[in-house]
Amino acid sequence: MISTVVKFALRDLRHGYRGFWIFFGCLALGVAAIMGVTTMSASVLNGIERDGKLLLGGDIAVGQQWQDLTDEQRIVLMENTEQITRFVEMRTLMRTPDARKSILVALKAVDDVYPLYGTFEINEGLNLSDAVKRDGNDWGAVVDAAIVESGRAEVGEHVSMGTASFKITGIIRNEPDRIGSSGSFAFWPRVIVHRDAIVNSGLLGEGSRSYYEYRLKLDENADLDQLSSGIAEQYPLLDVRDYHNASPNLSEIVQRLGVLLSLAGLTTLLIGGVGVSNAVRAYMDTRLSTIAIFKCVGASKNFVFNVYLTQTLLLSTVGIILGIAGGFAATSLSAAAIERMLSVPLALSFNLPNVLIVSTYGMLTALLFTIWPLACALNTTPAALFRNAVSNEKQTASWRFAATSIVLAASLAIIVIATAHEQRFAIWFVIGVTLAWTAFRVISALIVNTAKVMGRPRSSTVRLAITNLHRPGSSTSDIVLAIGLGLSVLIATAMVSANLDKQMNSLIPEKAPAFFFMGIQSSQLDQFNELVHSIDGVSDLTVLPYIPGRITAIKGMHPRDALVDEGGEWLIDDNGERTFSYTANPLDQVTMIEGDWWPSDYSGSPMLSVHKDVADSFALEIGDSITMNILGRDITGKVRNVRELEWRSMQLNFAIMLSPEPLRSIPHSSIGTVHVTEENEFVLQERVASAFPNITVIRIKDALNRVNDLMIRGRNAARGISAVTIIAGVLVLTGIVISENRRRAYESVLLKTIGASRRYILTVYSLEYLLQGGITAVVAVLLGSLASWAVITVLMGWEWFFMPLSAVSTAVLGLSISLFLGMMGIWRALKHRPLFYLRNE
Amino acid sequence: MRGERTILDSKPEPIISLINLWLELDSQAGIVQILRGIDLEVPNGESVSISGPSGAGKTSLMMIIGGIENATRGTVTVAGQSLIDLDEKNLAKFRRNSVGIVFQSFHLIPTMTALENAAMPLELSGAPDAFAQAEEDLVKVGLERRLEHYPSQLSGGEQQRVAIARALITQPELILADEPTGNLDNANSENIINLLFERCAEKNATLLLITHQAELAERCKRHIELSDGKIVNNRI
Repeated sequence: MISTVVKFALRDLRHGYRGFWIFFGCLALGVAAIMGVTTMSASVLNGIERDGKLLLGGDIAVGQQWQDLTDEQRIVLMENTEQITRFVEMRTLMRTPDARKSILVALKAVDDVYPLYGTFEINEGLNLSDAVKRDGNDWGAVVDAAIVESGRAEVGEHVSMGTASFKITGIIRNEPDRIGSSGSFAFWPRVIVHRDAIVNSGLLGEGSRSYYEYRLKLDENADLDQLSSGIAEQYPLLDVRDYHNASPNLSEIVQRLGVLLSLAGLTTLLIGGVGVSNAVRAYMDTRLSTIAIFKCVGASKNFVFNVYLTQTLLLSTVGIILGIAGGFAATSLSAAAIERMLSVPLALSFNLPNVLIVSTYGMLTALLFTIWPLACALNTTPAALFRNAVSNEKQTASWRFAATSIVLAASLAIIVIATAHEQRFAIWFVIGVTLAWTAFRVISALIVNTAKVMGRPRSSTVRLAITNLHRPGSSTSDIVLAIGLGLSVLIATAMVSANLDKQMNSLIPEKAPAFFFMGIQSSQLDQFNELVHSIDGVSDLTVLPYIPGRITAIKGMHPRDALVDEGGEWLIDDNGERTFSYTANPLDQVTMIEGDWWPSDYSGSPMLSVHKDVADSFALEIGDSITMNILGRDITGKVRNVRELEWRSMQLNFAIMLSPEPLRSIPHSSIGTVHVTEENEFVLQERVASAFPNITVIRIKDALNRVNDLMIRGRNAARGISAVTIIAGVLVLTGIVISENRRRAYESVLLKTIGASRRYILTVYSLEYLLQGGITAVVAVLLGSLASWAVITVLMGWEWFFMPLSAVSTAVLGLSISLFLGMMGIWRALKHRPLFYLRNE
Repeated sequence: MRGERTILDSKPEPIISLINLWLELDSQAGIVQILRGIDLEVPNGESVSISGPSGAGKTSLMMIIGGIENATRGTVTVAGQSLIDLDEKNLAKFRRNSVGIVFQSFHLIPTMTALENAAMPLELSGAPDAFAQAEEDLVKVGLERRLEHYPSQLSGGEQQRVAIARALITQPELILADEPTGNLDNANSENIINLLFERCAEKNATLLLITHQAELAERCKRHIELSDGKIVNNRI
């Protein structure tokens, strides 16, 4: 019997696949989106795993901030090691002859052995050791292409960093271990010099924020895990990583981004599902006579269902294969761009388990959305053949199919949650989709039922529009669902984007300082003050002590035990390493929430001023204690006040501030900010950098521009994905409009024949669309806003703003597109002569 | 009553037996009575014409006999099976094995060839020789050169021949024909009717024919006239 079913299914498809392009398009687009995203994130993760040694620059990486490793530590590293390389990384100002072009860079000073793995590539085939060697008074330096492209410097130009002079000898084409760098060095443009070049440059002076890095290539027989954990245990303050975990931050980001983008892809698939459902319904409408004939000659209901289920499975398989091929092709085509963007070699492979998961998503979605229209078509009775009145007005099926739909939806939800890297996101996604689904179903039922009880308005236009909403075979439900889901995603994306824009704009407060200084030594403070104040246009120089340490106890408990709100976890990450400061006088622009500041001449036991977030995270009250380990010494202070401050004002501040004693006597450096008029910015930058090579001078505008660039990239990625979702939405709407138009064309022609003008007919249908769409848009604005709120606050941890203009303009635009599509179809039908339609009947 | 009549008449079991058959349909205006207490017996192998004005209930009666529509009350026995007791699955089986239907609009499946259309009922029964049998039957209706043609490539008369072949292929005991010449010209009508009567006689099938044409009705052995849901004339 199975072969008969397949035979009949294939025979029935002989009329061709022309009517299925919406079906294929919707399904393939959704599958391609998920396939593309999952393949991309798997390729990045596999690339990190496969090329771990390359990315880390060794088998094991050991590093430390502030000071180099001791001889004893170096000896331990040499054991079982075949080769070792050492380098220093820091942020510093690369000064150019034209001070306005000076730029903050991520400097890496390497030895002759570097790199242990991979090849360091420079333009024109130079090798690294030649490129960075000393030539007369100048050392060689190779720089990021970005530095040259932005016109800050060019090859052959002389620049200086600290007191050392360099000549730019080449442009970096490939730094194999860039992604494995410590800290935020990937953020700034790279410059590579020889380690010897900076020894006497003042860059490594006391207080300079340098990272001392070592990369180890182990002996063949050495035990990686044992050695790695051995070093970490012996020296807990050293940062130790091995190549299995070359870039934990990037892996985490890629995994998290992968989940988010997959869920966006799944949204595309679900919206596409509405299109699939509509395409199947439209197709089944054309098969009703065939179904009636099948039944008439004795085919059972099950047989007929199996025939069309087989067709659906066949067509879905084609759609899924197209989607998988498309997704993989898109990934392959964009692989080079992704590699450049992330500095990670992709391990692109056709991952079978991934393909199976994506296919399962696709097949379950296709079945979920086709079961119901298939089941409804089964109601066709052979009796209709006697009366030449085959129609599918009874848009309902037995409870068995409703139950099957629920099982399919539940299976899809379970698979989505089970296969997600972060199940929390997936659960919220499932809840969100269910909520949106239910909301739009309820709305469509409300529209239909309200239209039913509205009676007969006087205006014939309104009357026709309203009856169209509830007449048998009305597509109100589908249109509301498709427009609703599509608009919700569109509005959510627009609101996220608008919020990102707002965040970016608010990053630069009106009164932001112009410069940020790091590593000011106590011995330099007076000179520094004098120099800065000697420059015209300078104001508001603020300098605060900068003291690294660790939080070791809160209220006498281990900090983790004292934590009551996960939001404060950042305070105790990385072994609780934080920086603290002290001040005698209250800080500017601070709002006191509780308690008061200590007297300016206070010299008693340490008092603490804590930020509200710290107090909330550890449920701190006035008088509670915090113990900090500062340079090996435990200092316990009592909370004297809780303050609120606006981090984004960029005023110098610390989460925990102490009263001056006893920190004043501990050796430390300071950090500072200053305002300066725009025309004097570069004078200040040049003079501070040349007088104090150890001080890192960060021009805040440069830093914000870098942040802006990153955020724009993130926003563009989000827009890219939402564009795919929008295309799916438009496809779905087009599909609905096409199937609607088949019927409407006939109705329109009949209306025209009995004397209705084109304008009248278009007004009726526009009114109908606007009634459906308008109500749906209001709900979509609510749901889209809710989704954007979740993304901005829950996922990104930022403040969310309701952007009524973006929401409403997006809704209006979306509605206009769907209205335009609908009216275009009707207009085309009206252009035909009535005879064309009437004769065909 | 029925048992008493069988003993009294001592006739062979009729192919169609309807006793006090009612069909009522719900509508917004209330219940509409389509058939009102029909009693009818048709012996095996007989040809019967059904006529009557539009709305008399002819098609509804035919659909109930064909197992397509359910009666509201009464007894319906066709080919020895009480249709009232059959579920949907068994009704489909009944239609497959015991009934062949010929429509005014032919109702062939457009994506299937003439051969496939004709073979379809046998294929559904799982018969291994469905195509050989269908070919044989199509040859008998004069379509040996049209086997692989699709309905759109056939004339109206040819389409109706395929429909007749399809209706008779399972050798059903009963053929239902609803205005089988309604969409054909005179020449084609004559041929089709001749063919239908010949093939029914050949297979000893009972023919139930709805028609408005008096000449055609005259070719049937029995004439039934319906009006307002009741049999007003039943003559041989």
